[in-house]
Amino acid sequence: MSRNPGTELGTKIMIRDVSLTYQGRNSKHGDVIALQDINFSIYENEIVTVVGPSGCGKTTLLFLMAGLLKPTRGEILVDGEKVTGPNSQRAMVFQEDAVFPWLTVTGNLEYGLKLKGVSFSKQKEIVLHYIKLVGLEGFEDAYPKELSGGMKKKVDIARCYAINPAVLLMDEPFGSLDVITKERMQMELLRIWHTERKTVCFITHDIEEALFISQRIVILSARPGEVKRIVKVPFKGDRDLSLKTSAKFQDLRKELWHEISAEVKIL
Amino acid sequence: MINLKKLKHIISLRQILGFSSIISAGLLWYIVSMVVSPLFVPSPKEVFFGGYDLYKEILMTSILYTFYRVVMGFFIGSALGILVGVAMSWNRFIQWILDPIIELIRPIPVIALIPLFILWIGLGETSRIIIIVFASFVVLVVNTSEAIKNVPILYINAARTLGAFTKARIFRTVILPAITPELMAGIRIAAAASFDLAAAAEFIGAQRGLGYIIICAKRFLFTNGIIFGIFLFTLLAWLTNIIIRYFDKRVNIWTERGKA
Repeated sequence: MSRNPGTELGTKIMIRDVSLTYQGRNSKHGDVIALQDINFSIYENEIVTVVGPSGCGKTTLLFLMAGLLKPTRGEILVDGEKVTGPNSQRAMVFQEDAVFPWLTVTGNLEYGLKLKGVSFSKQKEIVLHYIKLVGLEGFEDAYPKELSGGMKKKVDIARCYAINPAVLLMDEPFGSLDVITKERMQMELLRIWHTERKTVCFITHDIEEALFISQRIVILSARPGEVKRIVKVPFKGDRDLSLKTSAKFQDLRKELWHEISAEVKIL
Repeated sequence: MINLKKLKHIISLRQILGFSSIISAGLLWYIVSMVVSPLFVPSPKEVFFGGYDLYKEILMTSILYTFYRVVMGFFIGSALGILVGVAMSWNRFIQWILDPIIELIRPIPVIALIPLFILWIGLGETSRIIIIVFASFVVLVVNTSEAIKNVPILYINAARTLGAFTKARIFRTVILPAITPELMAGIRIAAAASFDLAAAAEFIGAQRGLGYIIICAKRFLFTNGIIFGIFLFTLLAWLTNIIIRYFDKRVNIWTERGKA
């Protein structure tokens, strides 16, 4: 499987020779190499998932893309510009529930817009649009404590979409949801993405999730994390849950499962 | 399914029991006062009517003086405490310099400082207020810096990827709203402590205030006056707590226990 899908698409994110070493506190706790010479690109309006055994540095890689961490070596370019710090061009949906509990749904969506200095009337318009897009009508004035886990994720996704970032970074966003909600949210994400295309980098440890939502899958090895393989997902545009039960899907799932489980060292 | 009718029944039973327990306590007081000398246990009538008669001329001024000291001391102390607590989280050098000093003054029983403050500043209004300022300050400076430490880094990271780049913006849009529940809890503790200290400060050389009423009554062995003074203090503290709780509920509407 090649790593050259559609050259017609521009490169959105370029990760060049990125390594990250966590420095040990003293000689006893030596340095930990989290990521080693990572190289890959994400093209415009593509959903790329990054999978790998736990502890391989998936989340670290995403934090580097967001600019919340700095690489020890190498660089990450977004739209040709080097990432030096966090920026609203790279909005992030976190693994945990990061919706601000002290703001209503509307307040959360307005948050980034206010910081951007978007005019009041424009704010209202954008917020309304994205509340509708993620299907949270009727919950505009609800506080997060009144929402279910899946709804809070929708708020988080809408909040990122509202500030119109160049790329959307997602760190196992559905990891804490139950299986049914998770599948629904995967469908929702695809629906939203079909409506308004974005470049998405999505971290997961769930192979099925990766195959279902993404166009390409980057497989990382166990620590130190290196790119082991990049898989092009052969499924076309409109995907629904029946895809998950198809023979081709299951074959691919098995193949990737073997690839990743080979990395997992049983202690 | 919760049976609503049943729930209503339980609530009313609870209210009946609560109400009757207060009535019983009052009744018990009345019965004991008939047996024991009024020097030790005056009857409810002697306390409320006798106490009122005793102090009716200076009642309002006493309440206002005590309330003034509490409010002034509490507001100045809390504001300073919150300000310094935020400053310590803002800059780690400020933190490193102030942390040991705050750890040092934190365990001091504030009442033990009253004679010292009176010696330094005199018997006037200032020394009494400063004692309350000091107590409220200590409560809120510790409360604020602890609360800020407990703000999940997750919210700060989320804010940064949503466009909050400067420290000032993160403080204003994430840290301050996130700590309001803990801040309100600290404010309630400081308010309660302020009444304690107002009482103690007024026992020493005050010419006005509820503490002064109590001390005068003690001097003349008017037990009903003492209890009446305690009652007024309690009433004032209780009302203050209700006011703070009202604001607490409005500000912290978003917390689990806040009203939806």
